Amino acid sequence: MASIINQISFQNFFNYYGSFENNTYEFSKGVNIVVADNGGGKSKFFNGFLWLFYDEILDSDTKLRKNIKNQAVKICSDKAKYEAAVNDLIECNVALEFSDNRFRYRICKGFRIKKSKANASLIDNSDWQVFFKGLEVSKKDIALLEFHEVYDEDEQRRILDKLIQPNLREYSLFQGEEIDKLIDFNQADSLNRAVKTLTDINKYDELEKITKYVAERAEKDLNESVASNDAASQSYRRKLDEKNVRKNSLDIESERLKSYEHSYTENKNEVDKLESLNENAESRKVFDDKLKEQNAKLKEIKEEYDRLVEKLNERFFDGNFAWIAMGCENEVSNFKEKLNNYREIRTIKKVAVLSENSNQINLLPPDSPDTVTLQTMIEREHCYVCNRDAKKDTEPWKHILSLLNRKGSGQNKTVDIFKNDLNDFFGEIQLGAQSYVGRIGAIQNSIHRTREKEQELLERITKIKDKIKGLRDDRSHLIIGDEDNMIDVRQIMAQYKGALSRLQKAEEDIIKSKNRIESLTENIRKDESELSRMRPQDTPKEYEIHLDISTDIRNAAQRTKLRVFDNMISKLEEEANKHFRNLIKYNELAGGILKFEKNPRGTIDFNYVDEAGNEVGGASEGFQRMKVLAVLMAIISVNPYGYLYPLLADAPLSAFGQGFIKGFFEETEKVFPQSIILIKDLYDSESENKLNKLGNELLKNVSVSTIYLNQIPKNSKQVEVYTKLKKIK
Amino acid sequence: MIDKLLKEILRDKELSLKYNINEDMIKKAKLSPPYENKVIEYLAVIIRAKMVEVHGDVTVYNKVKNLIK
Repeated sequence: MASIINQISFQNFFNYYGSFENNTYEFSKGVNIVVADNGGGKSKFFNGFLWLFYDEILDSDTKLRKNIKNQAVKICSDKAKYEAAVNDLIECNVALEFSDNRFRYRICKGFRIKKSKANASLIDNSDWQVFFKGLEVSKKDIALLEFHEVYDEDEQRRILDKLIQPNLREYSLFQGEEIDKLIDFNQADSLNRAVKTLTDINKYDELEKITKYVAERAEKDLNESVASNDAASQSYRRKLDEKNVRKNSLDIESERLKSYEHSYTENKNEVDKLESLNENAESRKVFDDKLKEQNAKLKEIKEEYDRLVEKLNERFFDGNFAWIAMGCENEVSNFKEKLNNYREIRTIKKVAVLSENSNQINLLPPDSPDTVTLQTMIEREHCYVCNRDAKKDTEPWKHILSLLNRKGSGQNKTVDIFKNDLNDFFGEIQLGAQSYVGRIGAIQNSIHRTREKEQELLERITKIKDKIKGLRDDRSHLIIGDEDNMIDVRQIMAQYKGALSRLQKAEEDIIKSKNRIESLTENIRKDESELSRMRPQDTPKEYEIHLDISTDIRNAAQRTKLRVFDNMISKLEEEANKHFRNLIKYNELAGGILKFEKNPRGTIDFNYVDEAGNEVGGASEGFQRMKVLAVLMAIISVNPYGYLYPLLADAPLSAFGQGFIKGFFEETEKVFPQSIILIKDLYDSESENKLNKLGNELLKNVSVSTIYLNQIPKNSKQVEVYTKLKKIK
Repeated sequence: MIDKLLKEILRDKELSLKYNINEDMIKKAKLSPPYENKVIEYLAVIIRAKMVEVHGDVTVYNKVKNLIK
């Protein structure tokens, strides 16, 4: 029969100000809910249990559990202390009543404090005298009226353990995030410890050990009996020796197996611990390689950009680009016009000078051959102006001669009138500007293309920089230890690989060792069978029967333990998934599958997988907590006796949403005979009854036995704060 | 509660076959006498002595040993 908490009362305990009568909660089987807003007394309520079981309270300032001895003044109601006169005694107590099918028990813990001086501080221990009382326990037959004190300390302890067994208290009492630690899936032994604690599987271990001991002793007794019999043959003794040798080998192998299993556990823990870090380290390595590649690209493009910028100046004066000539299109035509004007004026002036002494003039175009050239042309009988023959005495030859002989021509003659001849000057300008002039039309296009190239390079630089930043951001989420430390990445990957390889080795060793043990055990059984046939006729039959039954029971116990364990694993998986589906059914996201497997060591491995069997990671905090709760509920469900103790949870699903909370309430009542849930997520200050929509749904739900509402009077000073409780169901 | 442990061991096929333990006997099996079968008695005494009365191994053995004499 499960233990059920019937009542819990507080007297001047934190903000539960006043007598027990004003601060009593009555509870029943099933789901019991205490709704309170922040500061409404949920954690204080929970602290009452910590005091009863552990003599501790959770200090809300430091979030640490502290011994009650040093906290007495702090936990006594401020309002009671404030109202007390000097030398007044204030009672501070927590009392709890619970029952099983036969008795009802009452447990009370408390102290008195006395105000030593006026204006005493409300928290300073030196201003108060504290008088602790011992544990008070009383019990009564459930059918009777009166409680009787229990004075025996062992009996008192047994009664307290009956409420919740010490090894189960961590699974029965938890606050918020503590749930996540109940079963830590990253710790290989955490799940197995919960299974061993919450199920009866340990009983099978215990039975296997004792039946083994009984069988060994029975064999020893029989052998001693046979050894003292002279009729025992040499071959019997030899067989017995052989069996003993095998037995020794079996013991040695069993020890080896233990060490392999130890190595397996240690390395499994290390692998589990490093798994996510290794995944991160490997991902980091991928990021690092990508970053390296991107940084190289960035360097290359930056160099190309720098080269482009450096060459911008050159492009002004480089004939291939001729940027300096940009905008000079009109200057070229101006130049040509001016040059033509110049030549025209010059020619006219030249003609005017020549006409001063003769009416004949050989008007030649500007830049006509000089005297020396004319002489050469005459001698070679060829006109270089028109590139034709000018044979002697022909008209062309005579024309060249007339030019040579024209007035003012000749080597020794100077034409003084053509001062300031700018022909060469203009020629040089033309020559120098020739390549630029040809490019002027293409300059705009060239600048445009260069600008485009520059823009393209800048865009590529920005793009790569963004990519690098993105990679760095993503990489920074992969925590592996010391941030940005490449040595850590390599170390973790090496450590993980090492642990994984040791784990595989231990796994192989375990399998081999188990095979050897199986073979040795089989041979020992054959030896035993042969020995039973070889025993002397007058061996006492009772010894033989005794050994026979003991050995059969031992073997049956060994087989049963394996059978029960294997069945339990498959049932555990079935139950866990059932609970998990129900817990998350009001959530929009579908969850994964909880997978349980027996490992070579003979314990359980847990995985969270998708439908294809691939491991799923990165589930939200809400899903993680639901996984723990589902597995916890499954372990309790597979236990043939269920769970015989109440559950007390303070803010088990705070901030996880109404869907999870609804699923949790529905599922809790299927597993725990009684649950007391302290919660603020059903509170709505705007609502008439202070319950939100889900709170009102639960109010109508038949599986919810009681609902209490804790309230604090509005606008109270700190020293006047007290919790007023109201039973609304 | 502990009766279930007894029943579970008795359900072992090899054991039940050798000692002719049928489902009806398993259902009725309990830690306290009378016992329908010597093996059931052996097992019940071991379980009770070890897990209910919380005796040491030697005491458990002596209790079992006395069942044959």
